Amino acid sequence: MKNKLLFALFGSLSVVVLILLLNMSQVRGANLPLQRTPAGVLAAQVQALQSSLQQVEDPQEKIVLQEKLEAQQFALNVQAAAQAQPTLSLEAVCANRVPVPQQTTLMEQGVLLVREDFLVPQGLKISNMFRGEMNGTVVEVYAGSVLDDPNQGLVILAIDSLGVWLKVLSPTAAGSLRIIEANELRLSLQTAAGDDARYFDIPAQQFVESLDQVVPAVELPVAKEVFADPCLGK
Amino acid sequence: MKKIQNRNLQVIILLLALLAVVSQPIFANSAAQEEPPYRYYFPLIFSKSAVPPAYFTTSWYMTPQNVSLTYQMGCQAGVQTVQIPGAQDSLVILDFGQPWGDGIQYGTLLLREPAYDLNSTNDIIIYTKNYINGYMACSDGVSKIDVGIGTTNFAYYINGVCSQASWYCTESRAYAHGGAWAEMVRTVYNWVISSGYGARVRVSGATDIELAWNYASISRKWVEGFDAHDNSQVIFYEYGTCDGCPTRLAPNNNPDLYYDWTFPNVHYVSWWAAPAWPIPEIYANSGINARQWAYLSKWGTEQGYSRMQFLSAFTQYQACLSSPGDTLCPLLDNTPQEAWYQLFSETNYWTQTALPAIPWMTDIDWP
Repeated sequence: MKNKLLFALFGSLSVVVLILLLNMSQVRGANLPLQRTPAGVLAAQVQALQSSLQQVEDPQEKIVLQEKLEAQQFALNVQAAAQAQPTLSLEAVCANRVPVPQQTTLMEQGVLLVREDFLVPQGLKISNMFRGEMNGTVVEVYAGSVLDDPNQGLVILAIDSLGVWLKVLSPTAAGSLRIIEANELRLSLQTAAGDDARYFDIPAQQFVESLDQVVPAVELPVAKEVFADPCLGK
Repeated sequence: MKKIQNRNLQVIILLLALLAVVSQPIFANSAAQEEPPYRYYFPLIFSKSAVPPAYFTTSWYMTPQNVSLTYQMGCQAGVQTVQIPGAQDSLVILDFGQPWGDGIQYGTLLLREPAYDLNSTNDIIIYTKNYINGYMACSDGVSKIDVGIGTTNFAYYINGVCSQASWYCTESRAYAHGGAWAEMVRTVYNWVISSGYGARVRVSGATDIELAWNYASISRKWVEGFDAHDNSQVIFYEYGTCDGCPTRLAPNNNPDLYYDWTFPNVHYVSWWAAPAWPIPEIYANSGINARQWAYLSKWGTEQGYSRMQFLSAFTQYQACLSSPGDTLCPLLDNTPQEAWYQLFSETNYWTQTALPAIPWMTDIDWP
């Protein structure tokens, strides 16, 4: 009796489920083909392109899709061919390493010119830069303004080896800044109009009011961990 | 008899469970749910395609400081495959900066490169090979990666005129650069194949085409140049923007965009050109970027084109974290997951643009 009741319950539930499934076409996205998660992204792309090819009518569109399909099929064939080969050993991969040309010339230091569009894609307009060393680490400072607001002067402090990239806005918006000279790690700057002096202290990472104002240095982040290269057995 | 009834019961339960697992998630079409996020209805269990991948990769802006460290960067991507269980399939973009040439060679100016030192395609080949070797040395031995070698359409314009110091200002240069880029990508891919890496590594081109950065006529030529030299063997990922494009909230089928950009042009460089595959920048927390791209896809289907197959949303979450003080980042720092959901929801807003899955997530960072 109990089983009969259960059977009836699940029977009616199945009917409800089927009705819901049959009505799916009225629901957004419901006409998407039912698809299992593909084995690989490339195979899924090929499948999607083949499906699109069947749907489009425009001959030009068919040609484009066919070309898209060709490149994906090529990569799929490359995968299949390579999969048939024996697995590569770590030694083989390490032996295949390509030497990177090392920088042999020392980077110029001091107050330097920059290219006209330097950092423009990042929304900045840079006038010039300073490059020097702080505790044996190369530091750079770029002076200029916000691209869309030439009145808002700023400097960027960049210490790439430590991942430092700090934008410091000028305390007063009095025009784009330019580095005039470097007094060790304190920079003298002027606005574009040339009538407003600024000083930027690199260790303190801030603008200061004079060349001799004492400000505490900001602690720098620790250098990144030494890289463990499996090819060197590390 | 009892046994037979029990068996029937088991079969029904099994069938129900199976139906729930294989079915797609369905968005309700109620008038009360015109905008995402949608409430999910039947089936009870979502298939995998309704959720983002369990991981995202780190794409990189290439600078003079990190360009010689690509082996380490590739190794880092490889280590990730070891840390995450199971075989993974992923995409990374190495963004080498704006197109450049010196009359002899083509290449780029690296990001944060303060001078005019050309980073040639020969240099890029070496850097990319090192990235791939690093990946192969440190990864799990089964996961796959597609390495997109990226550039942009950037040139410096002042009041609509290309600056004298800029290089990427003519259609002929753009076409030649696109061709050189495709040849470079093929060279690296051929090396991958001959090195025995082809089962796990693919090499593609990539370009960040932004409407505010250059004319459509020039940007299109780059695409045409690539297309003419790709031998139908390599593709490129378009990880750009649709600046000023309309959305379903402010529809317009013939928008007036930056410079000479039109909807057909944006659609061409990001999807309709044979080698183009879109992985758009979905930076905005407001969701507008996702709405713009989904709307473009819808526009395309209305013109008789196939729906755009977005393979990833492209984000800058990590780049924002490493750029404190950036005034735009607070509005443009979608996480990869947020961007994925925005793009997936928007493309599924219309039946004709709906995608069953967006397979990848990649997020760019500075060194």
